Amino acid sequence: MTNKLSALTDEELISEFQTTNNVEAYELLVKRYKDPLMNFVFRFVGDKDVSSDIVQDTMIRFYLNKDSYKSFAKFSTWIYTIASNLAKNELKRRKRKNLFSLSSGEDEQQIDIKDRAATPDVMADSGIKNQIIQNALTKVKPVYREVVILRDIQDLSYEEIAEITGLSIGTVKSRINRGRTQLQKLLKNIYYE
Amino acid sequence: MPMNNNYYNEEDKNFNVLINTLKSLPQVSAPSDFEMNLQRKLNNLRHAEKHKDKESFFFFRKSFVPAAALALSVAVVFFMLFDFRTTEENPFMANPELKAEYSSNVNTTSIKNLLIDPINITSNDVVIKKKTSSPQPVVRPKKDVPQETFTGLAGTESQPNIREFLNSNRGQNVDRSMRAKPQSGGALYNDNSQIVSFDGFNLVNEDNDQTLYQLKARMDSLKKMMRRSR
Repeated sequence: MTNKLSALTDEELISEFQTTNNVEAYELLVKRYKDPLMNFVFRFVGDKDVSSDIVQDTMIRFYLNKDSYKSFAKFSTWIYTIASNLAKNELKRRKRKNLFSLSSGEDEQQIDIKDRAATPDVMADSGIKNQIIQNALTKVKPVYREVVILRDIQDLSYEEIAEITGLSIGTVKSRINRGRTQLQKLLKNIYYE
Repeated sequence: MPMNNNYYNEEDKNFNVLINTLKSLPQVSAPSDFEMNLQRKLNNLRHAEKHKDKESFFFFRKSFVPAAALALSVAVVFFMLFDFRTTEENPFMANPELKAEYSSNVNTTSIKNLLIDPINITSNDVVIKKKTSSPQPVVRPKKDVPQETFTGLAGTESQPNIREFLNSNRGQNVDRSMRAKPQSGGALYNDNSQIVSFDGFNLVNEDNDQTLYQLKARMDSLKKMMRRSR
């Protein structure tokens, strides 16, 4: 049964789950999307534990609201939209928390110190390099960060990004360009190595 | 699965280095216990839903909440706009109306006009005096007016003058002479020779229309008698 289901596309699996409430179809979709979503949410939020919780929430919402998925849409864009909205909510929650937190300024300062230490000789370590890129990503405005991650890290098409974000393709392209420009400025030390 | 859309436009070429850097980032995978935690959360959810269903079986459904709230608010507004409290006074709780007030409420416009200026009394008018002093009832017979008192004018040749007659008899009402005859029985009179009635509790001046008409009729009969006697 599982082998038979694994041959199905995402849309066929969700249809199976919707009509027969087959939990195996749901589990298969979770297996397919847990890692891509985890990668996307982590790059967007910058925290593994929080990202894991967000992806789990995404899967729970998918389970509870399976009937809200319409067959004319792609399943990938639908589930990315859920994850993206939850990640944005997390960022908003953090922003509110930092607004009323006395220690929020200190955290920002720590990140800045790390960036200043990103000299070329230190960047030899790829782990640190990845960390710097991630730090730079988190400094890009969320509206630009989201589309840059979806485009350059998740390899989604402009049409898919437009569907996920609910924006026009032109706006998506514009935001991607602005995001890349911001990121390029933040990572200039790496480029001129 | 995410599709590999590796087509780039002209603008993408300007960011080749950056794009390659981003693509070189390691893929972050979900933790190993991801599915187990998810399963646990889902089981908790199902368990909570079962309890929720049981609760909703005993109580009204959530979908009825707006309707119930609307009905309640309509009822509140209805009772606020329309006051159902009765404005009528409970007759058993009200103070009894004073008899004097009751008698003053009688519509006796013509009589009041007569009482304004007692000097302008014509032959057909009836004079009524009101006194607020406590009446002292006197029992006198119904056939109260002795004709001899009035027919005393019969011997004269002059035209009978009622005003003079009344003026001459004012203060020495013939009724007083009858007060000494309680045995005659009949109507009750006060000091001013006004008929009073006894309703079982109070003595009431009967200055109603009926009494006045009776007095007027009596005066007319006296006038006729005086003419005849002439």
